[in-house]
Amino acid sequence: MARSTVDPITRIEGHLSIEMEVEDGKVTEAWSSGNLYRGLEHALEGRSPYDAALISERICGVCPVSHVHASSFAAEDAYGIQIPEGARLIRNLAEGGQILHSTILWFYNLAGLDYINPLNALNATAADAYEACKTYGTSAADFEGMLARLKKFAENGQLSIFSGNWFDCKDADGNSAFHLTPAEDLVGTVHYFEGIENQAKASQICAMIGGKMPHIMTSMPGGTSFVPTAEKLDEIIYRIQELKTWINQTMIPDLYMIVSRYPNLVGMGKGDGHFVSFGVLDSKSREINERYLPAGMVTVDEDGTLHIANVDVDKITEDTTHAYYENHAPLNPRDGKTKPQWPKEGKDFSNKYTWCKAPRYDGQPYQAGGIARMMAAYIRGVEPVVKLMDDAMARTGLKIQDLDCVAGRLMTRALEASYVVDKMADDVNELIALMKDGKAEYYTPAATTTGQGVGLWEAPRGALLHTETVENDVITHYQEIIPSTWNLSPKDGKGVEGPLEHMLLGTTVTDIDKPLDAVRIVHSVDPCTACACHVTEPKTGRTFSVVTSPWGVE
Amino acid sequence: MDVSIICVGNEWQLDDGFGPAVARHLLEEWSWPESVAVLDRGVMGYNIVPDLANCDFALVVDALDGTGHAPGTVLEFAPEDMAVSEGIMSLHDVRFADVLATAQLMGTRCAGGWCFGVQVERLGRGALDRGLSAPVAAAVEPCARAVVAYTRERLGMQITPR
Repeated sequence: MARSTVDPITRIEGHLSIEMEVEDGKVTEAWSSGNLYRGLEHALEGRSPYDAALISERICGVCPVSHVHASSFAAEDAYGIQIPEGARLIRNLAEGGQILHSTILWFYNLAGLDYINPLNALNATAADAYEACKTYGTSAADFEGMLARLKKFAENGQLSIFSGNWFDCKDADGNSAFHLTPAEDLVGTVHYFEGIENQAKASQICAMIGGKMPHIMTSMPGGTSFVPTAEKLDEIIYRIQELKTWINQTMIPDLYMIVSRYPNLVGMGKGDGHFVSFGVLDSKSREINERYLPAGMVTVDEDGTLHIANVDVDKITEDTTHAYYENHAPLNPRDGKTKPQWPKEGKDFSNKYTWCKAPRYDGQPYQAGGIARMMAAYIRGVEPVVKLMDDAMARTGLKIQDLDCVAGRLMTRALEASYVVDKMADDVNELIALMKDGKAEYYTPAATTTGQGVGLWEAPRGALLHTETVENDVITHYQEIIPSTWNLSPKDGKGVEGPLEHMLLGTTVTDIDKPLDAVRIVHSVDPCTACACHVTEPKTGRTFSVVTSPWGVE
Repeated sequence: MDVSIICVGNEWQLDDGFGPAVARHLLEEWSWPESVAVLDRGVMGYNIVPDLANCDFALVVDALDGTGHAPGTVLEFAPEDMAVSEGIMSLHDVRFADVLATAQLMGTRCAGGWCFGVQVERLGRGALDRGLSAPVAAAVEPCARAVVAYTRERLGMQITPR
């Protein structure tokens, strides 16, 4: 028996570590530890719901839009507000921009380097890369230019931006764990950089609506303070069109390239078939089961039988047995507490080992994220999603019960982006029609100042809940359950592991210092846990010069 | 020639807020020609890439550590002398050097750059701690002047006090 520890997990948003017990090359037990305390709820108590929405989104620089919206929904639920149609469409557009931003960033820049090896791209020729594009139907680019720049970087020893990755890992059969040909790696590398451009383009949509990004300033309980003009909508439409082209002609074909070259991703990181979606992108009816990506508690049986139940907030609890918080019976978030307690003996897997509480639904762990949303939409018969999923399953030969694994998580989330970008285009058209008719309204004031509310929504990484109790416009109680705590949850009081811990069981570990497949599984749920600072340091052997007389001769 | 003056740092992490403080000083005290953009880019990470793609020359202001100099010392250096991260640790840990390397691999229009910074005294430790230490606060104006002097003398821009 041996221990394999990955601390920190790189290429994620935040500070997460996993520790695994490895026996005969397979994981027999796993522990997931979120290593940062947030406790933002305490900053929200004593404030108005209007301030809370803007403050609560500061919890995250990647998905702030989801937080300001979940918080606004909680306040609107407490105050009995239904926001006007114009506001619904604008908030959807900001949320959609953020979904695209997150998915692109995750697919290429976080998870992508588990499959694409830019160092191997140096061995390619541009002609072979054009051939690879034809094979997979993915977009071509200036491959000669990229090869020249890569070579120059390699000569100058500047490729260390890729050196923290595990490109030397082997599969169990002794062959390289990286399966793309040099030409495919070159295509993937060029698209990796295009991903950086396109995630920024998606983020710009949020900034145009929100005044800035991250942390948009216009969404608030009651609606939005963004009033669209033709010029602003032009800027947004142009970006939606460009993103649509790029997602469909580059990201989705690349997804199929990766899935076909890595058949081992099917069945890797298998989940237990339970999915939670609170639904995102509101439709006219404002019913969570009728959102563009609807809510639902999904179960996929081994034989492919699908079940969906409506979300019942009463059944949600959080358990603190193995988290660094005071022990108490599992609590519903409306009565939830955030009382940090660092144990005297420190981190101890038999006791407390993470800052993530353990969310449960009806006492069971549930997986959150793009796959959960797409499953709920599929079962609820959302037309474009059914078609996208059926086509993908036909193309890959996978059945619905095969999807709860790394391959399925990559596939569903990339496909989701294709659906979301189409819905954004529809929403802009609907907004323009409203504006033309002079019926676009953006804000509904509250008629009361007291109440209790729950906001159910989805961040890109999955189900998000905010709940608040308000007395005379002052919050007396606030709790959030963020998506990554569903996925990264520790074991609960009954000893049942969280979804990620469960997915890691049985994973092959060929090198306990570099458990690549385990990291692929972690990246497949796109964990997100925190924030830091980033100073510049001199390169080894170089010095910075002192500026002695900045004013020169003046 | 389009010039971007890109100031980076997190104002809620003590001395890491040096870049934004310099950006404020540059914007409040000086009038800039249209071809120069003074940008407070906070902790935008890879979202700074388009700024590099849209200029011919980039000046960068950041907090520095490991320079061997006393806190508050203003330093200048070539972009290639910055250490890049060994692999991307986390999107929260993307340094400016990583952004620049990425932009260069993407084939950005920006042809050159020069960097200024200050040796920090104390950085935040995860909590929201705002405020520069005394030596670093005292370095804001000298560093801003160094940026103005460089932009005038090396890049030939007309910059006047407000």
